[in-house]
Amino acid sequence: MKRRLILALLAAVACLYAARAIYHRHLETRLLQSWPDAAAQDPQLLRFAAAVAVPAMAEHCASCHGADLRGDPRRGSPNLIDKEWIHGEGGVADIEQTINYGIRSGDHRGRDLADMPGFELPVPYRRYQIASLQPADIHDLVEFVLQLNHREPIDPAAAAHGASLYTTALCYDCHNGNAAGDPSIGAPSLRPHAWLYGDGSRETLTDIIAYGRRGVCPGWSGRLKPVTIRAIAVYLHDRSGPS
Amino acid sequence: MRSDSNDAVSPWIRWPGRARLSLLLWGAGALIGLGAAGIALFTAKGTATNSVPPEYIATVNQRPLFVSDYIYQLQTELNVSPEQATSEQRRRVLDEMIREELFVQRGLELDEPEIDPDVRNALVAAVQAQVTVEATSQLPTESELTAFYQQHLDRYSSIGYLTLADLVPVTATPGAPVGDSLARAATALRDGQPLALVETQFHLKESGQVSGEQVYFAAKLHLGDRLFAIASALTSGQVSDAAPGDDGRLHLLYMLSNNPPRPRNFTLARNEVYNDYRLELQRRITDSEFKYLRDKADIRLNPAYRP
Repeated sequence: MKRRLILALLAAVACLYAARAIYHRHLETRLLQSWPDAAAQDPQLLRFAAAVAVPAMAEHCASCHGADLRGDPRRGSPNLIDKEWIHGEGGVADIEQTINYGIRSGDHRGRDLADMPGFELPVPYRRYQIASLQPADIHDLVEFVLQLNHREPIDPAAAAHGASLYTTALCYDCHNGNAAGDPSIGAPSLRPHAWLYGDGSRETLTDIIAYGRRGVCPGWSGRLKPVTIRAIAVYLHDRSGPS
Repeated sequence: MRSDSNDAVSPWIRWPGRARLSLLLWGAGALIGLGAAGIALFTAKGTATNSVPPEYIATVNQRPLFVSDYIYQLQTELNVSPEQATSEQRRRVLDEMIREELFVQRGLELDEPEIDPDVRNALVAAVQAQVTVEATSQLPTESELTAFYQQHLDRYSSIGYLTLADLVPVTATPGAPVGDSLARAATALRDGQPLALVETQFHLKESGQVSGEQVYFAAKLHLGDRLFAIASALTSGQVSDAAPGDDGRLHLLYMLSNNPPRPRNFTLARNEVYNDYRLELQRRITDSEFKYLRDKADIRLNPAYRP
Protein backbone atom coordinates (compact mmCIF):
# COMPACT_ATOMS: atom_id res chain seq x y z
CA MET A 1 0.00 0.00 0.00
CA LYS A 2 2.80 2.35 1.00
CA ARG A 3 4.77 1.52 -2.13
CA ARG A 4 1.72 2.21 -4.28
CA LEU A 5 1.33 5.58 -2.65
CA ILE A 6 4.95 6.49 -3.36
CA LEU A 7 4.60 5.37 -6.96
CA ALA A 8 1.45 7.40 -7.34
CA LEU A 9 3.15 10.47 -5.89
CA LEU A 10 6.14 10.06 -8.21
CA ALA A 11 3.83 9.66 -11.16
CA ALA A 12 1.92 12.78 -10.12
CA VAL A 13 5.14 14.82 -9.84
CA ALA A 14 6.31 13.56 -13.22
CA CYS A 15 2.96 14.48 -14.74
CA LEU A 16 3.12 17.96 -13.21
CA TYR A 17 6.61 18.50 -14.61
CA ALA A 18 5.55 17.25 -17.99
CA ALA A 19 2.46 19.46 -17.96
CA ARG A 20 4.56 22.46 -16.95
CA ALA A 21 7.08 21.77 -19.73
CA ILE A 22 4.31 21.39 -22.28
CA TYR A 23 2.64 24.62 -21.11
CA HIS A 24 6.01 26.44 -21.21
CA ARG A 25 6.62 25.23 -24.74
CA HIS A 26 3.10 26.27 -25.68
CA LEU A 27 3.75 29.81 -24.41
CA GLU A 28 7.13 29.93 -26.17
CA THR A 29 5.45 28.96 -29.41
CA ARG A 30 2.72 31.55 -28.93
CA LEU A 31 5.26 34.26 -28.12
CA LEU A 32 7.31 33.45 -31.21
CA GLN A 33 4.35 33.04 -33.52
CA SER A 34 2.61 36.25 -32.50
CA TRP A 35 3.53 39.39 -34.39
CA PRO A 36 5.96 41.29 -32.17
CA ASP A 37 3.70 44.19 -31.17
CA ALA A 38 0.69 41.91 -30.78
CA ALA A 39 2.62 39.81 -28.26
CA ALA A 40 3.12 42.94 -26.16
CA GLN A 41 -0.67 43.39 -25.92
CA ASP A 42 -1.33 39.96 -24.49
CA PRO A 43 -1.22 39.93 -20.65
CA GLN A 44 -0.42 36.23 -20.48
CA LEU A 45 2.47 36.56 -22.92
CA LEU A 46 3.68 39.67 -21.12
CA ARG A 47 3.91 37.74 -17.85
CA PHE A 48 5.69 34.90 -19.60
CA ALA A 49 8.07 37.30 -21.37
CA ALA A 50 8.97 38.92 -18.06
CA ALA A 51 9.65 35.53 -16.48
CA VAL A 52 12.03 34.64 -19.33
CA ALA A 53 13.56 38.09 -19.82
CA VAL A 54 14.44 39.13 -16.29
CA PRO A 55 16.98 36.36 -15.54
CA ALA A 56 18.38 36.54 -19.08
CA MET A 57 18.90 40.31 -18.81
CA ALA A 58 20.46 39.95 -15.38
CA GLU A 59 22.99 37.60 -16.94
CA HIS A 60 23.68 39.35 -20.25
CA CYS A 61 22.56 43.01 -20.14
CA ALA A 62 23.02 44.20 -16.56
CA SER A 63 26.80 44.46 -16.83
CA CYS A 64 26.39 47.48 -19.13
CA HIS A 65 22.85 48.73 -18.58
CA GLY A 66 22.76 48.10 -14.83
CA ALA A 67 20.62 45.77 -12.78
CA ASP A 68 17.81 48.34 -12.86
CA LEU A 69 18.26 48.82 -16.65
CA ARG A 70 18.68 52.55 -16.18
CA GLY A 71 22.03 52.60 -17.99
CA ASP A 72 25.23 54.33 -17.06
CA PRO A 73 26.08 57.74 -18.58
CA ARG A 74 29.74 57.26 -17.62
CA ARG A 75 29.91 54.39 -20.10
CA GLY A 76 27.41 55.74 -22.60
CA SER A 77 25.12 52.77 -22.02
CA PRO A 78 21.56 54.03 -22.40
CA ASN A 79 18.64 53.78 -20.04
CA LEU A 80 16.39 51.05 -21.44
CA ILE A 81 13.21 52.00 -19.60
CA ASP A 82 12.96 55.77 -20.04
CA LYS A 83 10.88 55.95 -23.24
CA GLU A 84 13.84 57.58 -25.06
CA TRP A 85 14.80 55.30 -27.93
CA ILE A 86 18.01 56.21 -29.71
CA HIS A 87 17.81 53.42 -32.29
CA GLY A 88 14.35 52.75 -33.70
CA GLU A 89 10.98 53.92 -32.48
CA GLY A 90 10.70 51.57 -29.52
CA GLY A 91 8.39 49.02 -31.14
CA VAL A 92 8.97 45.38 -30.20
CA ALA A 93 10.36 44.61 -33.66
CA ASP A 94 12.75 47.59 -33.42
CA ILE A 95 14.04 46.46 -30.05
CA GLU A 96 14.28 42.87 -31.24
CA GLN A 97 16.36 43.94 -34.23
CA THR A 98 18.79 45.77 -31.96
CA ILE A 99 19.11 42.80 -29.62
CA ASN A 100 19.51 40.35 -32.48
CA TYR A 101 22.16 42.15 -34.48
CA GLY A 102 23.55 44.80 -32.14
CA ILE A 103 24.80 48.31 -32.66
CA ARG A 104 28.10 48.75 -34.53
CA SER A 105 28.65 45.12 -33.62
CA GLY A 106 30.30 44.01 -36.84
CA ASP A 107 27.14 42.19 -37.99
CA HIS A 108 26.10 43.82 -41.26
CA ARG A 109 22.47 43.58 -40.16
CA GLY A 110 23.26 45.57 -37.02
CA ARG A 111 22.55 49.26 -36.56
CA ASP A 112 25.56 51.05 -37.96
CA LEU A 113 24.55 54.01 -40.09
CA ALA A 114 26.29 56.88 -38.31
CA ASP A 115 28.76 57.82 -35.56
CA MET A 116 29.38 61.03 -33.71
CA PRO A 117 32.36 62.64 -35.51
CA GLY A 118 35.31 64.04 -33.56
CA PHE A 119 35.36 67.58 -34.92
CA GLU A 120 38.74 68.49 -33.48
CA LEU A 121 40.49 65.51 -35.05
CA PRO A 122 42.45 65.77 -38.32
CA VAL A 123 40.01 63.31 -39.88
CA PRO A 124 36.75 63.93 -38.05
CA TYR A 125 34.69 61.20 -39.67
CA ARG A 126 35.51 57.84 -41.18
CA ARG A 127 32.37 57.55 -43.31
CA TYR A 128 32.69 60.67 -45.44
CA GLN A 129 34.67 63.86 -45.57
CA ILE A 130 33.76 66.68 -43.23
CA ALA A 131 35.87 69.60 -42.04
CA SER A 132 37.49 69.88 -38.63
CA LEU A 133 36.37 72.71 -36.35
CA GLN A 134 38.44 75.24 -34.48
CA PRO A 135 38.32 75.06 -30.67
CA ALA A 136 36.47 78.40 -30.61
CA ASP A 137 33.78 76.94 -32.88
CA ILE A 138 33.43 73.90 -30.63
CA HIS A 139 33.04 76.24 -27.68
CA ASP A 140 30.23 78.06 -29.50
CA LEU A 141 28.50 74.80 -30.41
CA VAL A 142 28.62 73.78 -26.76
CA GLU A 143 27.00 77.07 -25.79
CA PHE A 144 24.28 76.42 -28.37
CA VAL A 145 23.57 72.95 -27.00
CA LEU A 146 23.48 74.32 -23.46
CA GLN A 147 21.03 76.99 -24.61
CA LEU A 148 18.81 74.30 -26.13
CA ASN A 149 18.69 72.71 -22.71
CA HIS A 150 18.07 75.98 -20.90
CA ARG A 151 21.33 75.74 -19.01
CA GLU A 152 22.66 78.92 -17.39
CA PRO A 153 24.84 80.92 -17.71
CA ILE A 154 25.19 81.04 -21.47
CA ASP A 155 27.17 83.32 -23.73
CA PRO A 156 24.37 84.48 -26.09
CA ALA A 157 26.66 85.64 -28.88
CA ALA A 158 28.55 82.35 -28.82
CA ALA A 159 25.28 80.40 -28.76
CA ALA A 160 24.01 82.35 -31.77
CA HIS A 161 27.21 81.55 -33.66
CA GLY A 162 26.87 77.93 -32.50
CA ALA A 163 23.35 77.85 -33.94
CA SER A 164 24.66 78.82 -37.36
CA LEU A 165 27.50 76.29 -37.03
CA TYR A 166 24.87 73.66 -36.24
CA THR A 167 23.84 73.96 -39.88
CA THR A 168 27.16 74.62 -41.56
CA ALA A 169 29.07 71.91 -39.69
CA LEU A 170 26.35 69.43 -40.70
CA CYS A 171 25.18 68.67 -37.14
CA TYR A 172 21.60 68.96 -38.37
CA ASP A 173 22.25 66.20 -40.87
CA CYS A 174 22.11 63.60 -38.10
CA HIS A 175 20.52 65.36 -35.13
CA ASN A 176 17.72 66.85 -37.21
CA GLY A 177 16.84 70.47 -37.89
CA ASN A 178 15.05 70.77 -34.55
CA ALA A 179 17.81 68.91 -32.64
CA ALA A 180 15.32 66.19 -31.73
CA GLY A 181 17.61 63.46 -33.07
CA ASP A 182 16.88 60.76 -35.61
CA PRO A 183 16.20 57.24 -34.30
CA SER A 184 16.45 55.79 -37.80
CA ILE A 185 20.23 56.36 -37.72
CA GLY A 186 20.77 56.36 -33.96
CA ALA A 187 21.40 60.08 -33.53
CA PRO A 188 20.25 61.08 -30.05
CA SER A 189 18.14 64.10 -29.24
CA LEU A 190 20.10 67.13 -28.11
CA ARG A 191 17.19 68.09 -25.89
CA PRO A 192 17.34 65.04 -23.72
CA HIS A 193 15.75 64.22 -20.43
CA ALA A 194 18.93 62.33 -19.63
CA TRP A 195 22.32 62.49 -21.31
CA LEU A 196 23.61 59.40 -23.04
CA TYR A 197 27.21 60.35 -22.24
CA GLY A 198 28.15 62.18 -19.08
CA ASP A 199 26.18 64.83 -17.25
CA GLY A 200 25.68 67.49 -19.94
CA SER A 201 28.42 69.66 -18.46
CA ARG A 202 30.49 71.98 -20.65
CA GLU A 203 33.51 69.74 -20.20
CA THR A 204 31.68 66.60 -21.34
CA LEU A 205 29.93 68.27 -24.27
CA THR A 206 33.22 69.78 -25.44
CA ASP A 207 34.90 66.39 -25.29
CA ILE A 208 32.05 64.72 -27.17
CA ILE A 209 32.10 67.28 -30.00
CA ALA A 210 35.91 67.35 -30.10
CA TYR A 211 36.57 63.59 -30.03
CA GLY A 212 33.30 61.97 -31.04
CA ARG A 213 31.55 58.93 -29.67
CA ARG A 214 30.87 55.46 -31.06
CA GLY A 215 28.84 53.28 -28.76
CA VAL A 216 28.71 49.54 -29.27
CA CYS A 217 26.19 46.86 -28.32
CA PRO A 218 26.83 43.22 -29.22
CA GLY A 219 24.37 41.22 -31.28
CA TRP A 220 22.83 38.25 -29.52
CA SER A 221 21.46 36.31 -32.47
CA GLY A 222 22.88 32.81 -32.24
CA ARG A 223 23.92 33.37 -28.61
CA LEU A 224 20.51 33.63 -27.06
CA LYS A 225 17.52 31.55 -28.11
CA PRO A 226 15.06 33.39 -30.40
CA VAL A 227 12.38 33.07 -27.74
CA THR A 228 14.63 34.73 -25.16
CA ILE A 229 15.36 37.61 -27.52
CA ARG A 230 11.65 38.04 -28.28
CA ALA A 231 10.86 37.89 -24.56
CA ILE A 232 13.44 40.60 -23.77
CA ALA A 233 12.09 42.80 -26.57
CA VAL A 234 8.51 42.42 -25.35
CA TYR A 235 9.55 43.00 -21.74
CA LEU A 236 11.56 46.15 -22.56
CA HIS A 237 8.76 47.49 -24.72
CA ASP A 238 6.37 46.99 -21.84
CA ARG A 239 8.71 48.59 -19.30
CA SER A 240 9.46 51.63 -21.44
CA GLY A 241 6.76 52.04 -24.04
CA PRO A 242 7.38 53.69 -27.40
CA SER A 243 8.96 57.13 -27.43
CA MET B 1 -14.77 -30.17 -14.34
CA ARG B 2 -12.71 -28.13 -12.00
CA SER B 3 -9.51 -28.52 -13.99
CA ASP B 4 -11.41 -27.60 -17.21
CA SER B 5 -12.64 -24.36 -15.70
CA ASN B 6 -9.04 -23.54 -14.59
CA ASP B 7 -7.76 -24.10 -18.13
CA ALA B 8 -10.36 -21.70 -19.49
CA VAL B 9 -9.06 -18.80 -17.33
CA SER B 10 -6.45 -16.62 -19.09
CA PRO B 11 -2.88 -16.86 -17.72
CA TRP B 12 -2.92 -13.01 -17.36
CA ILE B 13 -5.79 -13.24 -14.90
CA ARG B 14 -4.06 -15.96 -13.03
CA TRP B 15 -1.02 -13.71 -12.34
CA PRO B 16 -0.79 -12.29 -8.84
CA GLY B 17 -1.82 -8.60 -8.54
CA ARG B 18 1.72 -7.36 -7.73
CA ALA B 19 3.30 -9.00 -10.75
CA ARG B 20 0.55 -7.57 -12.96
CA LEU B 21 1.28 -4.05 -11.70
CA SER B 22 5.00 -4.48 -12.37
CA LEU B 23 4.32 -5.56 -15.91
CA LEU B 24 2.02 -2.61 -16.46
CA LEU B 25 4.61 -0.15 -15.17
CA TRP B 26 7.33 -1.73 -17.31
CA GLY B 27 5.11 -1.48 -20.33
CA ALA B 28 4.20 2.13 -19.61
CA GLY B 29 7.87 2.99 -19.12
CA ALA B 30 8.83 1.40 -22.40
CA LEU B 31 6.06 3.27 -24.24
CA ILE B 32 7.07 6.62 -22.70
CA GLY B 33 10.70 5.94 -23.59
CA LEU B 34 9.80 5.12 -27.17
CA GLY B 35 7.67 8.26 -27.40
CA ALA B 36 10.44 10.47 -26.03
CA ALA B 37 12.97 8.92 -28.41
CA GLY B 38 10.62 9.49 -31.32
CA ILE B 39 10.05 13.13 -30.43
CA ALA B 40 13.78 13.72 -29.98
CA LEU B 41 14.55 11.96 -33.23
CA PHE B 42 12.12 13.98 -35.31
CA THR B 43 12.71 17.39 -33.76
CA ALA B 44 16.52 17.30 -33.48
CA LYS B 45 18.44 19.75 -35.67
CA GLY B 46 19.47 18.31 -38.97
CA THR B 47 16.78 15.68 -38.90
CA ALA B 48 14.09 15.67 -41.53
CA THR B 49 10.78 16.69 -40.06
CA ASN B 50 7.50 17.90 -41.41
CA SER B 51 6.93 20.46 -38.66
CA VAL B 52 8.47 23.94 -38.73
CA PRO B 53 9.65 25.12 -35.29
CA PRO B 54 8.14 28.44 -34.18
CA GLU B 55 11.43 30.35 -34.46
CA TYR B 56 11.62 29.57 -38.18
CA ILE B 57 9.45 31.19 -40.79
CA ALA B 58 10.17 28.26 -43.11
CA THR B 59 12.68 25.56 -43.81
CA VAL B 60 14.18 25.04 -47.26
CA ASN B 61 15.64 21.60 -47.77
CA GLN B 62 15.74 21.39 -43.97
CA ARG B 63 17.70 24.64 -43.73
CA PRO B 64 15.93 27.17 -41.51
CA LEU B 65 14.84 30.70 -42.39
CA PHE B 66 14.60 32.60 -39.11
CA VAL B 67 11.56 34.68 -38.18
CA SER B 68 13.94 37.38 -36.91
CA ASP B 69 15.60 37.64 -40.33
CA TYR B 70 12.18 37.78 -41.98
CA ILE B 71 11.08 40.65 -39.73
CA TYR B 72 14.41 42.41 -40.30
CA GLN B 73 13.99 42.11 -44.06
CA LEU B 74 10.43 43.44 -43.90
CA GLN B 75 11.64 46.45 -41.96
CA THR B 76 14.74 47.24 -43.97
CA GLU B 77 13.40 46.47 -47.42
CA LEU B 78 9.83 47.72 -47.18
CA ASN B 79 10.09 49.89 -44.07
CA VAL B 80 7.01 48.29 -42.53
CA SER B 81 6.54 46.48 -39.27
CA PRO B 82 5.34 42.89 -39.61
CA GLU B 83 1.92 43.91 -38.33
CA GLN B 84 1.56 46.64 -40.92
CA ALA B 85 2.80 44.58 -43.84
CA THR B 86 0.19 43.45 -46.34
CA SER B 87 -0.01 39.79 -47.18
CA GLU B 88 1.41 40.70 -50.61
CA GLN B 89 4.46 42.29 -48.94
CA ARG B 90 4.90 39.34 -46.60
CA ARG B 91 4.70 36.91 -49.50
CA ARG B 92 7.21 38.95 -51.48
CA VAL B 93 9.78 39.00 -48.68
CA LEU B 94 9.29 35.33 -47.95
CA ASP B 95 9.71 34.48 -51.64
CA GLU B 96 12.91 36.50 -51.73
CA MET B 97 14.28 34.70 -48.70
CA ILE B 98 13.43 31.30 -50.14
CA ARG B 99 14.96 32.31 -53.46
CA GLU B 100 18.15 33.45 -51.75
CA GLU B 101 18.39 30.26 -49.70
CA LEU B 102 17.90 28.09 -52.77
CA PHE B 103 20.59 29.95 -54.69
CA VAL B 104 22.96 29.77 -51.73
CA GLN B 105 22.41 26.02 -51.50
CA ARG B 106 22.92 25.68 -55.24
CA GLY B 107 26.04 27.82 -55.01
CA LEU B 108 27.48 25.47 -52.41
CA GLU B 109 26.64 22.49 -54.59
CA LEU B 110 28.47 24.14 -57.48
CA ASP B 111 31.40 24.88 -55.15
CA GLU B 112 31.21 28.60 -55.84
CA PRO B 113 33.57 29.49 -52.96
CA GLU B 114 36.26 27.57 -54.81
CA ILE B 115 35.90 29.39 -58.11
CA ASP B 116 34.36 32.82 -57.56
CA PRO B 117 36.67 35.49 -56.08
CA ASP B 118 33.71 37.61 -54.94
CA VAL B 119 32.28 34.68 -52.97
CA ARG B 120 35.71 34.02 -51.47
CA ASN B 121 36.07 37.67 -50.45
CA ALA B 122 32.59 37.64 -48.95
CA LEU B 123 33.44 34.49 -46.97
CA VAL B 124 36.67 35.99 -45.65
CA ALA B 125 34.82 39.16 -44.66
CA ALA B 126 32.07 37.12 -42.99
CA VAL B 127 34.55 35.10 -40.92
CA GLN B 128 36.35 38.28 -39.86
CA ALA B 129 33.03 39.91 -38.99
CA GLN B 130 32.22 36.87 -36.87
CA VAL B 131 35.46 37.48 -35.00
CA THR B 132 34.37 41.09 -34.50
CA VAL B 133 31.11 39.92 -32.99
CA GLU B 134 33.04 37.69 -30.60
CA ALA B 135 35.17 40.62 -29.53
CA THR B 136 32.14 42.86 -29.06
CA SER B 137 30.40 40.48 -26.75
CA GLN B 138 33.46 40.01 -24.52
CA LEU B 139 33.00 42.85 -22.08
CA PRO B 140 36.24 44.02 -20.47
CA THR B 141 36.35 44.86 -16.78
CA GLU B 142 36.99 48.42 -15.66
CA SER B 143 40.45 47.46 -14.42
CA GLU B 144 41.33 45.97 -17.83
CA LEU B 145 40.19 49.18 -19.53
CA THR B 146 42.08 51.36 -17.07
CA ALA B 147 45.24 49.32 -17.60
CA PHE B 148 44.85 49.66 -21.39
CA TYR B 149 44.34 53.42 -20.98
CA GLN B 150 47.51 53.71 -18.89
CA GLN B 151 49.50 51.68 -21.42
CA HIS B 152 48.41 53.91 -24.32
CA LEU B 153 48.18 57.27 -22.61
CA ASP B 154 49.59 59.07 -25.66
CA ARG B 155 46.52 58.05 -27.69
CA TYR B 156 44.17 59.74 -25.27
CA SER B 157 45.64 63.22 -25.19
CA SER B 158 43.66 66.31 -26.04
CA ILE B 159 44.37 68.02 -29.35
CA GLY B 160 46.64 70.95 -28.49
CA TYR B 161 45.90 74.38 -29.89
CA LEU B 162 47.82 77.60 -30.11
CA THR B 163 47.47 81.22 -31.15
CA LEU B 164 50.65 82.45 -32.75
CA ALA B 165 51.95 85.55 -34.52
CA ASP B 166 54.31 84.39 -37.25
CA LEU B 167 56.17 87.52 -38.28
CA VAL B 168 58.22 88.06 -41.44
CA PRO B 169 59.75 91.28 -42.80
CA VAL B 170 57.52 93.28 -45.19
CA THR B 171 60.62 94.10 -47.19
CA ALA B 172 64.24 94.04 -46.17
CA THR B 173 65.05 97.32 -44.36
CA PRO B 174 67.62 99.18 -46.55
CA GLY B 175 71.11 98.94 -45.19
CA ALA B 176 70.15 96.62 -42.30
CA PRO B 177 70.36 92.84 -42.29
CA VAL B 178 66.97 91.19 -41.85
CA GLY B 179 68.29 89.14 -38.93
CA ASP B 180 69.19 92.28 -36.97
CA SER B 181 65.78 93.80 -37.53
CA LEU B 182 64.06 90.63 -36.32
CA ALA B 183 66.37 90.40 -33.31
CA ARG B 184 65.48 93.95 -32.28
CA ALA B 185 61.79 93.22 -32.83
CA ALA B 186 62.11 90.16 -30.61
CA THR B 187 63.68 92.25 -27.87
CA ALA B 188 60.89 94.82 -28.17
CA LEU B 189 58.21 92.14 -27.86
CA ARG B 190 59.98 90.58 -24.88
CA ASP B 191 60.06 94.07 -23.31
CA GLY B 192 56.29 94.10 -23.56
CA GLN B 193 55.73 96.40 -26.53
CA PRO B 194 52.40 95.82 -28.30
CA LEU B 195 52.50 93.56 -31.34
CA ALA B 196 50.96 96.14 -33.69
CA LEU B 197 53.55 98.74 -32.71
CA VAL B 198 56.43 96.31 -33.21
CA GLU B 199 55.08 95.34 -36.62
CA THR B 200 54.99 99.00 -37.69
CA GLN B 201 58.32 99.91 -36.14
CA PHE B 202 60.27 97.03 -37.63
CA HIS B 203 58.35 96.68 -40.93
CA LEU B 204 57.01 93.27 -40.10
CA LYS B 205 53.81 91.52 -41.12
CA GLU B 206 52.13 88.23 -40.28
CA SER B 207 53.13 85.53 -42.73
CA GLY B 208 49.52 84.40 -43.13
CA GLN B 209 50.53 80.77 -42.66
CA VAL B 210 48.71 80.63 -39.34
CA SER B 211 45.90 82.90 -38.23
CA GLY B 212 43.81 82.88 -35.10
CA GLU B 213 43.57 79.82 -32.88
CA GLN B 214 44.96 76.72 -34.56
CA VAL B 215 44.91 73.11 -33.53
CA TYR B 216 48.38 71.62 -33.27
CA PHE B 217 48.16 69.40 -36.32
CA ALA B 218 46.97 72.33 -38.48
CA ALA B 219 49.71 74.63 -37.17
CA LYS B 220 52.30 71.94 -37.93
CA LEU B 221 50.94 71.56 -41.43
CA HIS B 222 51.05 75.32 -42.10
CA LEU B 223 54.33 76.20 -40.39
CA GLY B 224 56.35 73.19 -41.46
CA ASP B 225 58.24 70.88 -39.13
CA ARG B 226 61.13 73.22 -38.36
CA LEU B 227 59.10 76.27 -37.29
CA PHE B 228 56.47 74.13 -35.55
CA ALA B 229 59.16 72.52 -33.39
CA ILE B 230 60.25 76.00 -32.27
CA ALA B 231 56.67 77.25 -31.81
CA SER B 232 55.42 74.31 -29.78
CA ALA B 233 58.27 74.79 -27.30
CA LEU B 234 57.21 78.40 -26.58
CA THR B 235 54.97 79.12 -23.64
CA SER B 236 52.28 81.79 -23.84
CA GLY B 237 53.92 85.23 -24.20
CA GLN B 238 57.34 83.92 -25.28
CA VAL B 239 59.12 85.09 -28.43
CA SER B 240 61.50 82.97 -30.49
CA ASP B 241 64.74 84.04 -32.08
CA ALA B 242 64.68 84.60 -35.84
CA ALA B 243 64.62 81.25 -37.58
CA PRO B 244 64.46 80.16 -41.22
CA GLY B 245 61.24 78.59 -42.38
CA ASP B 246 60.60 76.04 -45.13
CA ASP B 247 59.85 78.99 -47.47
CA GLY B 248 63.45 80.24 -47.12
CA ARG B 249 62.46 83.42 -45.23
CA LEU B 250 63.42 84.31 -41.68
CA HIS B 251 60.49 84.13 -39.23
CA LEU B 252 59.91 85.51 -35.78
CA LEU B 253 57.39 83.57 -33.70
CA TYR B 254 55.43 85.26 -30.94
CA MET B 255 53.29 82.82 -28.96
CA LEU B 256 50.11 84.52 -27.79
CA SER B 257 48.58 81.41 -26.28
CA ASN B 258 49.80 77.82 -26.18
CA ASN B 259 47.66 74.95 -24.92
CA PRO B 260 49.69 71.82 -25.65
CA PRO B 261 48.03 68.37 -25.76
CA ARG B 262 47.22 66.99 -22.33
CA PRO B 263 46.07 63.50 -21.39
CA ARG B 264 42.27 63.32 -21.29
CA ASN B 265 40.98 61.76 -18.12
CA PHE B 266 39.79 58.19 -18.29
CA THR B 267 36.14 59.06 -17.72
CA LEU B 268 36.01 61.29 -20.79
CA ALA B 269 38.12 59.02 -22.96
CA ARG B 270 36.40 55.81 -21.88
CA ASN B 271 34.41 55.32 -25.08
CA GLU B 272 37.55 55.58 -27.21
CA VAL B 273 39.50 53.38 -24.83
CA TYR B 274 36.81 50.71 -25.07
CA ASN B 275 36.70 50.89 -28.88
CA ASP B 276 40.50 50.68 -29.12
CA TYR B 277 40.53 47.81 -26.63
CA ARG B 278 37.99 46.00 -28.76
CA LEU B 279 40.00 46.55 -31.95
CA GLU B 280 43.07 45.19 -30.23
CA LEU B 281 41.06 42.19 -29.07
CA GLN B 282 39.74 41.65 -32.59
CA ARG B 283 43.29 41.65 -33.93
CA ARG B 284 44.36 39.14 -31.31
CA ILE B 285 41.37 36.87 -31.95
CA THR B 286 41.85 37.07 -35.74
CA ASP B 287 45.55 36.25 -35.39
CA SER B 288 44.91 33.31 -33.08
CA GLU B 289 42.13 32.08 -35.38
CA PHE B 290 44.53 32.23 -38.31
CA LYS B 291 47.23 30.45 -36.31
CA TYR B 292 44.80 27.74 -35.22
CA LEU B 293 43.58 27.18 -38.79
CA ARG B 294 47.11 27.14 -40.12
CA ASP B 295 48.30 24.66 -37.48
CA LYS B 296 45.37 22.42 -38.24
CA ALA B 297 45.70 22.65 -42.01
CA ASP B 298 47.66 20.30 -44.22
CA ILE B 299 49.66 22.79 -46.29
CA ARG B 300 52.19 21.48 -48.77
CA LEU B 301 54.29 23.84 -50.83
CA ASN B 302 55.44 23.11 -54.33
CA PRO B 303 59.25 23.05 -54.06
CA ALA B 304 59.54 24.93 -57.35
CA TYR B 305 57.70 27.90 -55.87
CA ARG B 306 59.01 27.80 -52.32
CA PRO B 307 59.75 31.41 -51.34
